[in-house]
Amino acid sequence: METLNLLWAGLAVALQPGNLLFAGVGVMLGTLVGILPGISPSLTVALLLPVTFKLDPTGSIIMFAGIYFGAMYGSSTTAILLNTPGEAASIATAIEGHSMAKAGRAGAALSTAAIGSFVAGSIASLGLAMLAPAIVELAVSFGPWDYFALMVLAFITVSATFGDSVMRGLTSLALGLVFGLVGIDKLTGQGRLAFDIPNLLDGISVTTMAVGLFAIGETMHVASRFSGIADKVEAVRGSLWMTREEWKRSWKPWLRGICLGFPIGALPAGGAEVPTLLSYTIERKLAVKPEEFGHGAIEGVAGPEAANNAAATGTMVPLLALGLPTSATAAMMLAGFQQYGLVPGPLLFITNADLVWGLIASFMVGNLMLLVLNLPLVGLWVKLLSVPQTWLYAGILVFAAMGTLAANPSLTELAILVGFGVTGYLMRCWDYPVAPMIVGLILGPMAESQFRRALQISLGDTWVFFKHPGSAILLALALFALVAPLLFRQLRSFKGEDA
Amino acid sequence: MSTNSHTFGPSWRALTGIALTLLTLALLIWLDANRLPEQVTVGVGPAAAMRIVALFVAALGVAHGVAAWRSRVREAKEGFTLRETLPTTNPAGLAWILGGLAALGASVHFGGGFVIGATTLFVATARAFGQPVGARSVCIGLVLTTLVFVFFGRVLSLSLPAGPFERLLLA
Repeated sequence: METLNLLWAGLAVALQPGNLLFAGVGVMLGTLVGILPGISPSLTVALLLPVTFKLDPTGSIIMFAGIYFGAMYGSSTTAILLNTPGEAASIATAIEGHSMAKAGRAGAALSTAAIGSFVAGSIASLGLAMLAPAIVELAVSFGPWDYFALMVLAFITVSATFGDSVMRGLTSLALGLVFGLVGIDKLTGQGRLAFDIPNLLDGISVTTMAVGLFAIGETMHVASRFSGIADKVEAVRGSLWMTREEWKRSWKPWLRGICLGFPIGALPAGGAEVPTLLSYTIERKLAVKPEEFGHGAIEGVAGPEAANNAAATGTMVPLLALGLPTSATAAMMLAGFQQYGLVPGPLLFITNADLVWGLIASFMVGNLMLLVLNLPLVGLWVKLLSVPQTWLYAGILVFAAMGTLAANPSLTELAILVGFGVTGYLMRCWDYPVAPMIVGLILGPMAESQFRRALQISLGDTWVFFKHPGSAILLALALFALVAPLLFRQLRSFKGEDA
Repeated sequence: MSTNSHTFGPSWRALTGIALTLLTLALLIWLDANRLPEQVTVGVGPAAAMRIVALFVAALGVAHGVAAWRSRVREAKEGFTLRETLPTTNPAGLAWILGGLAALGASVHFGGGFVIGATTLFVATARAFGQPVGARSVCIGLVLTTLVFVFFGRVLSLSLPAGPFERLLLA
């Protein structure tokens, strides 16, 4: 009951005209960047961090959340009409949705994606409101060793468990950790890896890293493979209203998608790719007409899109309740909180209850806005798809440089930005994931301070992490998460050799 | 078409390069950690995390070295070369973008201001995507960067690097 009262109070915060405006701007911006290939929601938040520095914290963070959800909607539009998934999580949608669009059923595909996302986002927001306080209650009894072990688990799952290559994921994470070390140590005031360069003593800014890796790295990668051939945009044909049969075939995949997406998103495992692909596989197995899959089955759009949005909301559970970011966008939102001196976690639910509950309530408001705005405006969004890559990427680079120069107008900062850009480009060429690096940069220093606090309390006993059952179990899980993909690969290759 | 995970990823030469870079980085971190004074109070000092990370990076360097060796052996045995995910078809584009970024840096450093530098970056990036350097891209870039500068200065009261052009604008 108490949760409902808090949620009610949060709704009052979310419905204040100013916050409503921020939510509206957020979802519109999110849809925009979701539609435009090459701009990810994490990049958008990174670009907006310096701009929102002087704005109201509640409003800005509501806007950041709106960007996240809006981008999920927007990327499904691109996936359906252009066959280019704007986000990795939209790959499944691109397969079935684009086939539907080619067969003249784009309207139905867009509708089932939008309505499914709305249903998923709303139910998952309720789930978040129920689950977060319970986790907060649990987290109050957490010691620094438990937090450290939890962060180690998050490191491993984000970088190693679900990627293509354990080695490449861990390398990306390690680079993030290294850059997290740079700067003045907060406890002793010693400069680390700064080599007496003033800019480096302040540490590496998350904004600079994210903008460099995503904006400049991505632009360089697209430019180096540019051939001048434009993608073909499918026109929106077919009614936006779904038929009775399409409703009937959509609602069960939506619910199954939510059941997959929310828990996986809420686990400190991160990413929406896994639940969407799982949902796609399950829908294909359960389909009444499995022969339609690959040629435009509506279940293959409905399920993954619901899973996608539910997972995005799910990642807010560890972020808000534990301060644990498990995706690149969540990491950027954490940076957004930090910009205002706010630390997500159990304490925030007490000190800034109106902000937290206002944010949770704004998720529901934002989802409703997306549904109301997006389906009628689909024609407008489609026009955006025909913006030539040339102007798009030139604009992205100008905004990237602007964000960095506004935060710190110096040549060194610009050089660091370009350095990250080249790193991001090489990582894309060699198929290294970028998200673990961002998570490593932002979570690394937090893990270190918990590590040191734990050792201070235990008077230097390094076994403290194994003496407490909570942290011991979490570390064992982390070890399992690290070894499991290696074992599976080994098994698979044995099978491969037998065959 | 093979969907085997071995088809993608860096070639053995790139892997060797990455391995050496990682090992150098690990050494650098370790040396920097040794420079820090020993901690006297309870617990561990600022060097502990650096040593842990250095060992982690070194381990990954070794792993890359092993991967490079294996990949090279496989290549020699099967005559099978690892490919990047997509071949580079437009190396000139990369040069244009990096040149544009360098021009922006120079403009900021030598007092040319944001608008001139960012317009150069805009035009160079457009050139990388096949738009010839000309009046069209210069005009679009100039309008865009001027709007950005005014918005930052007037609405958000954040200052971007100003040169002669910007001072004229704000005066």
